[in-house]
Amino acid sequence: MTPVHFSFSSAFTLGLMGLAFHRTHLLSALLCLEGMMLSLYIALSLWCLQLEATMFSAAPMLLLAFSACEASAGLALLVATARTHGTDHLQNLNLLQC
Amino acid sequence: MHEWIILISNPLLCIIPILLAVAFLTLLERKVLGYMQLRKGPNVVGPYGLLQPIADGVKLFIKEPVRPYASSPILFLIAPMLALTLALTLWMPMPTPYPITDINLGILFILAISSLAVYSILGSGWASNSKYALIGALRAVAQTISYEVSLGLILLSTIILAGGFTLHTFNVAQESIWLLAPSWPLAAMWYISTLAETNRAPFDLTEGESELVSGFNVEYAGGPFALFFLAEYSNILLMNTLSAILFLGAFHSPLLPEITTLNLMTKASLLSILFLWVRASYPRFRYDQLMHLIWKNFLPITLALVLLCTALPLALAGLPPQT
Amino acid sequence: MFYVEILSMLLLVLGLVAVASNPAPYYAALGLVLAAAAGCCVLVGHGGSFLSLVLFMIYLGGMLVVFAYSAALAAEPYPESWFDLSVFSYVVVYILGLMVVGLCFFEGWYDGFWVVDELKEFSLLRGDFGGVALMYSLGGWVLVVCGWVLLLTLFVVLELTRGLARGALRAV
Repeated sequence: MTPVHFSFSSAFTLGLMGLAFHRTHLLSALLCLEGMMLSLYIALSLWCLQLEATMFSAAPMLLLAFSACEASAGLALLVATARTHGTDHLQNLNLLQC
Repeated sequence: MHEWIILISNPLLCIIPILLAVAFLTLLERKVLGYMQLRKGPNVVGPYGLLQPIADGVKLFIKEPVRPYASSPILFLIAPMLALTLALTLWMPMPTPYPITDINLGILFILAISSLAVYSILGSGWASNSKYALIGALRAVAQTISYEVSLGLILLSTIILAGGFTLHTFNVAQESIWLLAPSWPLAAMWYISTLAETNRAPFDLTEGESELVSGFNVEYAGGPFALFFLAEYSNILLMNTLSAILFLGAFHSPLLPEITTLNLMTKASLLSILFLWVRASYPRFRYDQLMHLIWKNFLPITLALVLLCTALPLALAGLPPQT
Repeated sequence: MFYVEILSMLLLVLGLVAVASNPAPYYAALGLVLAAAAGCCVLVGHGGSFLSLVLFMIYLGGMLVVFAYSAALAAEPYPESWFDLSVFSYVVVYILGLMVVGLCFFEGWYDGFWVVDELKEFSLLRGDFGGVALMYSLGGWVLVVCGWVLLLTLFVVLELTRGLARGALRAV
């Protein structure tokens, strides 16, 4: 395992742990998701750079496009919950009445 | 030792003329605005007011920098420094005609760095912990990132026409004809978008004096404010130089590179004077009109033009050579 | 260059620690900005300058700005930075965990530092630059799906944020 492999895989794991354990704000959860996507992008591009298989460097670009979709949908959900519930605390989403 | 001197002196030789140009741009702006309103403008300090920008600079830098009690002190000081640093870094890959750093992907670099400038706005607005500053920063950021989308798309179509991300390619591509001629709708939209991107009138909603006192930099005074001011005007000059490179390419002969510089900078300063003229002539947009202009007019047209600029050279077998 | 590379890898991981330790969203966005910038440095060091610039432009210039922007929606009167006790304990736990895991792998670490050989054999195209361009000729259905997904997301976002009465989410 080279240092760079260790760094991006630990970055992914950290993002996953943050997403799993800490959920006060919806925005923090979304940011953890974004961190995971960032480490995936780095992992994919390092994969095609290390193998010198430059044909595959389209893969991180596609990943980036999909993660942009994810980010925009998540932020739209954030705006919508801020409108309906008044705040973006994830506890409030459990309430039946708001 | 030798390398260290080069590392310091080369950027300085680029930065000092830029700062001088910025200083005289502010003087020119006040003069032009003055004569357009049938008054003289600054004419007391020095002959024709030529020393006015120096006096202004001295005044700004010896003034006491105010640090609001409730602000976040580190971010409050970092934001203006970041703004000026980014504005000066943007000049590094500019081919005038020989850049400081010759980057292959020069245009991508400029786009990337200029998209970082919003962080300084957001940081300063948030760090000054005042409602006016925060609202001003949010408005400025929304406007800037909206217009960046169309700037990027316009750049993309000119890149397809010129055939590369290198800024030198534009000089070569425009040896026979300016890109202004075949792609004038793009050029017009580019110019308007640069007006909006640099937060100039008629798009200067961020510092609409009537509703927000001065936008994101209300709490700044003295030195930090001067840094913001320098960054803003240096961005204006940079955007105009970039428009001149993209659409009004300067002929480059390796025997006389000075001619290229003169040519390019004359065009850039004419475009800057046009900025001032626009400021003197047009009233400010309303905010929803501003957003409608970008999202409902510019974005569809630029998307269609990108498709056209991709399809037409392919169809007519006129793709530029790929290097 | 090697040290810069190691430093940016360290910053990448530390930025993710800063995001994952649950501070206020403003600070979390700041940490992610740091991590993304460090990630760009890592990619540049390994020879992917085009991929890194695209990451910088799209991710730092586009998406994270919007995240920092909407952090204003999640505003708190007293935002927790990393030095508040609850957050700081998480930072310490995460860093200790990283060190333990790193030590577990320490035997198998080898000194791997490679840069893709640029400008090999008179070629004028950088590898990643040409590789991304191949998406348009060999991308095929993935490209079409990607375009459709982007269009679909546009409508999803429009529908979600339409307003209180007419949107997909409603106040009860």
